[in-house]
Amino acid sequence: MAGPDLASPSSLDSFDKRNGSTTNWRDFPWWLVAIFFFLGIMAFLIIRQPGPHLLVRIVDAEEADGETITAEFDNLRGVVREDEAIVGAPSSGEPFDLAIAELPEARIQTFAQLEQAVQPLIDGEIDALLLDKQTARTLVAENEETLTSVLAVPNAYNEAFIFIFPGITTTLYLTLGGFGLALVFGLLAGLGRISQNRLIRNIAITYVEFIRGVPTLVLILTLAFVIVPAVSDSIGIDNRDVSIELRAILALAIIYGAFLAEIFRAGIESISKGQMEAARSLGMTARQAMQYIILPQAIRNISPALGNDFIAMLKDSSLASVLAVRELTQRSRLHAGSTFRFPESYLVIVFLYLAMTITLSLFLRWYERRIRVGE
Amino acid sequence: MNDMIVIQDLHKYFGHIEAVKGVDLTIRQGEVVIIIGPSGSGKSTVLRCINHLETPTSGGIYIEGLHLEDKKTDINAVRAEVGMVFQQFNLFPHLTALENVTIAQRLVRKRDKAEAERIGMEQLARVGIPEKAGAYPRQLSGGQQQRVAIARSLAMNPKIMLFDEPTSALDPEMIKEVLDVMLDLAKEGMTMVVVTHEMGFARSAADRMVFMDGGQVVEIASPDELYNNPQHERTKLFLSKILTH
Ligand SMILES: Nc1ncnc2c1ncn2[C@@H]1O[C@H](COP(=O)(O)OP(=O)(O)O)[C@@H](O)[C@H]1O
Ligand SMILES: [Mg+2]
Repeated sequence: MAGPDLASPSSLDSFDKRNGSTTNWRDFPWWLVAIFFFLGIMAFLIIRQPGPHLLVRIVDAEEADGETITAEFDNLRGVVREDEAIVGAPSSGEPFDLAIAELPEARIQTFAQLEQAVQPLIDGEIDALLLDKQTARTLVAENEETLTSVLAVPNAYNEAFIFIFPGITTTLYLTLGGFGLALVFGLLAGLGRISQNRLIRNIAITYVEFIRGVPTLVLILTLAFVIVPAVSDSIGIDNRDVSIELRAILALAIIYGAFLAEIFRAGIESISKGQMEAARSLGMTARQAMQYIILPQAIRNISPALGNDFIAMLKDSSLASVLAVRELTQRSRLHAGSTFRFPESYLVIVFLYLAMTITLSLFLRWYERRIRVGE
Repeated sequence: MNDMIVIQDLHKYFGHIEAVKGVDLTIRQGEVVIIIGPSGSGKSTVLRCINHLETPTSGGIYIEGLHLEDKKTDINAVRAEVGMVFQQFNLFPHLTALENVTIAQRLVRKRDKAEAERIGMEQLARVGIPEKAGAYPRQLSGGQQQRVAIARSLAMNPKIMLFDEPTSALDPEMIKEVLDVMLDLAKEGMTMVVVTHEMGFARSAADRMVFMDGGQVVEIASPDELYNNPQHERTKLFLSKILTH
């Protein structure tokens, strides 16, 4: 028994700590750098003003006359508007792969302006011009040798951002509302799972197992279009009065309530039996002991897990788009559908979701470290 | 003297294991009874039945004449009169020492904050650590934690105190500070039931000692009688083991 025990866990611990204090670049969170790099690029693309910047690829003039011609630039796809065309000058007989054109902010209206704008194009100083289709046709017809019609992919991140961004209010509203309610459902179901009363316990178990056994998307559709109308009918509310946002919130809350129930149950069961016994031995009722002794400790222990589920719900709020709730994802789909600017539409929400989730999970880690230090 | 605790033919099963096999014991007001016995002999179970942390399988427990198994008995009211100190302290880790000592006063005794704190500070002073009122349990040594646990029970003004191996989890140098508090309490006339193997403490504090083995009471005697002249073979064997230690 006596004598230093070198193999004891605590001595190993301090050994590890000493080693860990020297800088180890393998531990550096490179993935975080990658994510911030991506976020930075997206922010740059979004903040850039739309208008003069164009990424273009020359295509055949005949082709450019078509109504919706798709241009390809790397993996990005897009179309110019129906009444627009790009006029460019191939530097050789071969179409050039890529050029960046500085275009005038104002649309060309007078012949003088046109001449002024076209000259640098003809001189090869710039690579392309965005014009209305009629002017473009005339211009190409008059200068067949030097000019050709090109198609553009306007770098419309900013435009997409402006259309999509307001959806963030709805996304946050769905998430906060849904999570708040889910906490209530989860706590009740979690307490139900460990209740002495067999009926309550079975109801809670059924709820949790039912929800966990059905895909989230299916649940959202079912809750919004089957359960809510059925329930509102039976309590005498016209189901058209139940807004689609409220249905989405209820659906998210009911689904996440089942997951949170398991977290609450585990949290309560993680508190040693001695805590309940000490509280009861002082004369507290079971309810007082739960409320003042067990739950505060349990909630503290599970708060990182709750935080993770909050982030998960923020992401899953995108599923509400199937109910046509105009949150971020639905707005992206609308934007993509009307402009065919798929990359802009979807990359903008990738950026927005990432910006929110990364911020939250960094905050969560800080918080986790803080409560661990407190122990 | 009044009978404080009456235990009648107590049986307790855990599944198929009979942990307590018919214990009868009467403890009078102001009496200090110390229970010893080998591990697994049912000492904790008897103690825990006294405040109904365990429900007896059969038999009766009476506290000041109140029958605990009676449905009409308010068990929470009884427990408020019966303090319990655990081997593992079981302080509430999310509360400061003072909050540990006041929370049950406020919830159960319905005292207002100021009064609960006044009484709480009194009790912390009595166990010798008023300066630790604002500390959280993790900031206290084991001995300090156990003293806060004792203060927490005393703040309820209990009529009976139960101790289940209160010093077994403590480092040797902290045992005395806890035993001293308990000894003072015994001298002040508190009715106490203590499971402990601290023989020095038993000798100076106990009115009677109970030796349990195999879920039964083997022998009840004064400390002197039990140490110097044990009547049963099993008692002799057990004492020989712990006293040479
Ligand atoms: N909650 C329980 N569940 C099952 N068995 C138990 C439980 N508590 C005690 N026992 C058993 O009852 C017997 C007596 O235990 P206990 O009263 O703790 O003994 P002691 O305190 O004297 O060591 C032991 O065999 C123990 O394993
Ligand atoms: Mg024991």
